[in-house]
Amino acid sequence: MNEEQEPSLQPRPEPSEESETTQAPAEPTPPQASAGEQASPQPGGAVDKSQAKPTRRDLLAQATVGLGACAALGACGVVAAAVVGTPLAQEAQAARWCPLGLAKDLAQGARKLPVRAPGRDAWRRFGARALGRVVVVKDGEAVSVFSAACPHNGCDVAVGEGGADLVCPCHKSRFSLDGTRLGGQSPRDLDLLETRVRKGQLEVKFQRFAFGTPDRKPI
Amino acid sequence: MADSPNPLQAGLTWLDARLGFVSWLREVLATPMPGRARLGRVSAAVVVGAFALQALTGFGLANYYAPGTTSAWASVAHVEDAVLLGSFLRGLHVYGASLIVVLLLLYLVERAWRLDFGGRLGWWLALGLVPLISAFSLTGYLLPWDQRGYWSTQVSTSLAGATPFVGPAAQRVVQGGTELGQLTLTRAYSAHTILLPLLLCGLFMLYLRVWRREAKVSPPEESEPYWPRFAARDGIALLIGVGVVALLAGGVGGHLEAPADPEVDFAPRPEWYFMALRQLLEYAPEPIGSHVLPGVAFFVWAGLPWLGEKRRLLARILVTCTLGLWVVLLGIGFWADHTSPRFQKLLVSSAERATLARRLARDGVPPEGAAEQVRNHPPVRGAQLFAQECARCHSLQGLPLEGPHLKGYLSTEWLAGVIKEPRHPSYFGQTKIDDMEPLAEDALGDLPSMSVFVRSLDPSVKGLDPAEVAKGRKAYFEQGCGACHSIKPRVEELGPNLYGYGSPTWLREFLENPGADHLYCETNEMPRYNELPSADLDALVVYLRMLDGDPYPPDVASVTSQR
Repeated sequence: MNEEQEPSLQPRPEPSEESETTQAPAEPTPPQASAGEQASPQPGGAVDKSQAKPTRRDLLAQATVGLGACAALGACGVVAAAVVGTPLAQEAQAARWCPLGLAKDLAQGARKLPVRAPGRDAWRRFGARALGRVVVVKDGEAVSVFSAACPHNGCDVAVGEGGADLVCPCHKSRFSLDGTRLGGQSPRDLDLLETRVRKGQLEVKFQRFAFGTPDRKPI
Repeated sequence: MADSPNPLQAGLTWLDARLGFVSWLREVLATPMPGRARLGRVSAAVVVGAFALQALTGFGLANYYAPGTTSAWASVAHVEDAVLLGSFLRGLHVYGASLIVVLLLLYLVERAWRLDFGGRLGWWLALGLVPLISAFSLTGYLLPWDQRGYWSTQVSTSLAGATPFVGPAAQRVVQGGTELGQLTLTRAYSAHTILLPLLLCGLFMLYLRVWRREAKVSPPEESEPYWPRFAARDGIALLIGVGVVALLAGGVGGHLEAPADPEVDFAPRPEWYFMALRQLLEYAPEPIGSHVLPGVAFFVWAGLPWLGEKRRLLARILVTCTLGLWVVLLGIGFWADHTSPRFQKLLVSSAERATLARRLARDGVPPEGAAEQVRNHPPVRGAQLFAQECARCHSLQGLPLEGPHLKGYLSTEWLAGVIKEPRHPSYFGQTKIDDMEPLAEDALGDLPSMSVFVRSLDPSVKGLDPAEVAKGRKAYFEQGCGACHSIKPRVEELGPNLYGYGSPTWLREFLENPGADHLYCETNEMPRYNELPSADLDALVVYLRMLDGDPYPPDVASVTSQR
């Protein structure tokens, strides 16, 4: 783009009042009286464009295009944004009690157990939806249940070699069997979940927490 | 401008020095257009604008849409019912498609009428939008996987199959197999969102190039630059169009039929602009009606530039004829549907099914999909079972068939009819059950209260007048009904035990064994239905209990399923 043409960089579909007035002085200005007249078409418009005088009708035309484009695109854009942004209004999933199996059948040591519950996912309704897994550790009579989601990025932690510790496969965060962080990127210990025993059935209050934060925030 | 410290301007200048897009845009906008800018003169740019809106709204929809035969309908219903402004957005997309057709038509007809073809290639590229937009429309129509899209695609793919030589192969590729199914839907989705938009962009770029080149090589005698007045005409047309689309989207909303179900009656109709082609197929077999005649019309339009040079009158006559024929066929098609009682009846039943499906889907759709959900809805399943198993002997129109009619079954009118004339041919007259005497003449005054009393034996019936029930109870025993029809549990008398008569428990026991000792015993001729699945029996019970026409308590379905 050469320098001489720069002043008439105007025909963009943004007809702000300001840009119209800045354009006018750059043109050889004819008496204003002619501005209201019918503009005659310029033959070979591409060549004569720089000499075209912006009449009131032209300004009106530019404003129409600009407003039209903004209104149409804006309206559709707002609607599309609302639709895409609908999940922002969604509430956090409530914690719910989920069965893990008979308490008396639980062997010593650590293992991962699946958690299922009836639930919704967008329009879908499930009789038993797989929510994820929990780490169940039985040490003597004490049973503790941790969310298997690593507090770092949410990967599924695995029971380490020999069942001595818990290791995240993604970034090598390590936890002891009581959930204490031993090393790696995890910002906090494993999330301990509430448990209870109902009719011999071990139940866990399944809940998700925000990842990557030093303290537990339910999501 | 160089002195101006406006950072936006400076940034634009910096970018333009490297990309040249501002000067390019300025050149494009200054392209001379033949003739003068008038109202009603739209350029191809307006079609581009309308497509931009489709892309935007389409992106919004694609944030939810799931192209699966068990999920597509549910995801669209979710957009309609659970997403903020979702119904409006879908309406914009649905009616925006029609807007494109209208604008394209306006553009093509106007050019054809002025015999301004801007060079043959440009005209052909513009005409190329017609099959391209048709492809957009046909694929988009299928995506909700509702009755309309499913059956219309059944028709359109079978028409594709009628193409000489390549038809069967083309149909199989489009369907992703020998019949409509999951792959048809996936392919329609990939074409609608990837292939066709790419083709469209290519077509527009080619068109832009040809248009500008044409203007340079042979500049029109009378002309005006595109910017600003032609652009303004386009802007006005687009604004009016989008306004109407928004009104339709907000006021009427995008149509969604019941989920696709090959077991349910439907009268498929294509989008309004294909109605002429559909009507043509009533008169001409394929491939004449589907390929030859539309093809001839298309090639006539493609050949207009040749005619336009020498035989202007003939060109205009051809334009008028093809358009006129299109409009007339369109009109006939809509008028025929409008005046067909059969079609209108199907519209009503389809709309009812769609409403039911939407209501059920609000509580979530099970993995087997919305069509199954509707089919398994107890009243729907019950009606189907009734038609299949019971309707041969039991008329719903009150006609005398082998067994008693069930028009208004369990209503006090129906009960009064049985009590008054049990041997009437439309009740038990054609069965072996003939022990019950008609009600004595002098007791006819008690008939209404007696039927109310019998209705009250079903404990789930509420809102009966207690005085009327007491009066009916007295008459029941005075007339000796109680001698044969005990109203105590498990007591066997000559006639059926009426304890809990009409309740889900009574009806289910009856369906499972109508010839039980406490029911019709050896006079029974009705088959046992104890081998039907339990859920089906419950559905049948729900349906039978709906025949009285009273507003149906919504919890009854769940009550019966808890048995």
